[in-house]
Amino acid sequence: MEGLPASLADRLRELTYNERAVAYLQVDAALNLVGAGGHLENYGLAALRLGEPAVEQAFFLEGLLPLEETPFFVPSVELDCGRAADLHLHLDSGTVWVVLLDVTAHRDATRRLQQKAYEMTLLQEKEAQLNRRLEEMNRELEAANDFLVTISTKISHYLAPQIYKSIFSGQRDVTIQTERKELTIFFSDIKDFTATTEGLQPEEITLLLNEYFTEMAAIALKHGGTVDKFIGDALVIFFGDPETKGTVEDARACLHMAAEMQHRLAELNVKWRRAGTEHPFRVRMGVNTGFCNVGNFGSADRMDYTAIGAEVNLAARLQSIAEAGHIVISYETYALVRNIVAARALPQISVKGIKRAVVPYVVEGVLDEAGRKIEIFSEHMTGLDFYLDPRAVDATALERIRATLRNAIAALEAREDAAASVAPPEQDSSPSSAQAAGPDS
Amino acid sequence: MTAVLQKKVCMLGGFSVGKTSLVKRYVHSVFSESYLTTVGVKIDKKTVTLPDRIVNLILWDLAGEDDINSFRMTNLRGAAGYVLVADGTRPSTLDVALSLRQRVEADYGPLPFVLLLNKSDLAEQWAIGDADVAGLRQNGWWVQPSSARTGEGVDEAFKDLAVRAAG
Repeated sequence: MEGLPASLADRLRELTYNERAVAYLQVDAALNLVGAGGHLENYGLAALRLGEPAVEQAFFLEGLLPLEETPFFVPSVELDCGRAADLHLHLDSGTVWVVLLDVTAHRDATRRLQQKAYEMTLLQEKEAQLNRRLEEMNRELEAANDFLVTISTKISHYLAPQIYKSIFSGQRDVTIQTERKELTIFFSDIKDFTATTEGLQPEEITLLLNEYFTEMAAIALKHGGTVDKFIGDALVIFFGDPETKGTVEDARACLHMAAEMQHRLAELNVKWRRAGTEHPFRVRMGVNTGFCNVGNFGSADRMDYTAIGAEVNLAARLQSIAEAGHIVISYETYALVRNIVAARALPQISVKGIKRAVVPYVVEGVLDEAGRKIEIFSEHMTGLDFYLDPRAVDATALERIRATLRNAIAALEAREDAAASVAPPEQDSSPSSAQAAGPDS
Repeated sequence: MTAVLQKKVCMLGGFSVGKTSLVKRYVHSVFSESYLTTVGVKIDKKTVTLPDRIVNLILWDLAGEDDINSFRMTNLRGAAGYVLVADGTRPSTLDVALSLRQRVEADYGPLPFVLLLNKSDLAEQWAIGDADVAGLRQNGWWVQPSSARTGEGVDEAFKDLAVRAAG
């Protein structure tokens, strides 16, 4: 203070003493409190006993005495009374002087700043932590999703694609629930399947059947049919649920599907025969249109999406009266598709559960979009491999084909004549003419 | 007459790990949800009655520093032990506590201490693995989860430290 005018030095002394609430403690070498003064009450130190141990009365001194380093400073010490003080200790001739300067206001200001900074840091930490957690959850979700996709893809193979789609898109509820709907139902089976596959190993039969069903199901899907089930060598497909284009279009789609199946089957038979399978698959088909109950049947734990009712049974019955390679449809279906098929009525039949007289129609040809009859000629047996798709034949080859067929017929007739000369004439009931697996067969 | 000892014990750890809350829980049996950062040091006294003596713990609740390099090591002068505090929901605060311990040991030698993994009530946000805790205990350290909110582990930690600090 020497450099200051006396008045200023006095003023500063006064300001410091009052504003900073200066107080002091004096501790002797025996660590007893021997003096105290200033604003002691500001620090809750009013009731001091001189001559007694200092640290028992001012416990903030615990550990600091005897003073190892002088001067020694502890900034911003909050005491019991709530005030904050800077503690300045120094040693002078064996006496430790403790000076307390009030810094409560400064402490509060610092705290406000510090608090904001820490809160900001905490928020950033929390944000970073949340982000890490989110990323972790995303990874877990992705893994769970991948798992679900894998599982649902596996499950999808057990369901008709339309059913799978409507369940997984959330349109369809998986509960036991059925509704009455007008469906066109298709039944097919392989005539004399057991005899046909006799001599084949189970593995070969499995391969053949799987290829046959895969091809047929793909055709069904292409035409919008719902593959209901595979029963042994039989196939059940319906049109009208879960997707429908209207009763007429559903029935037409079913007939187009049946025709395409026949064509594809003819091609498959050629292929299989070349691969050494002796007997071709000869398939009978039945189609009916009528009201059925369609939906989930079964128990809450295990249900099947299917259609039931007398009209479904009728489709099965029509299939059973069809010749191999033929499609038999009910009058109800025929009425819906008459402008795209050529068909001939069969004698009427009665079916259990159906009150009306049922008139079956055997389909003689399905017309393509241009109204042309679609014909495929296909016959395969010992001594004959015959497949003719007139639409696929090159125009320049027509004459050659005709000549071949003429020669073939001549050869057959010559064989017949020779046989007649050695045995009494008898009508051969086996299919020897160019029996087609196609709709006109 | 039972001897009365007085021992200085410091609370050490990163900011917002709950040092002040632990002292409040221990000394005043209260807990407040609001966070008020400590500036400098706050000094409290708690009397612990041990079977053979009474110990006055003079608790120096030191401000948790953002940057541990700015930590005033001189505040530990005369301490008989310390409580290391980490926030179990913020693994980085365990690193802070462990480096503080190293610095204390470098300056003052091996003082008795306890390590509290605080905020154990926030189980869902807990981020310190059991294996890490087991690893720390292998050093022979007293390591416990604690909660200033529920009081879990608080009295035990201070009492254990009082026994060791009183020698």
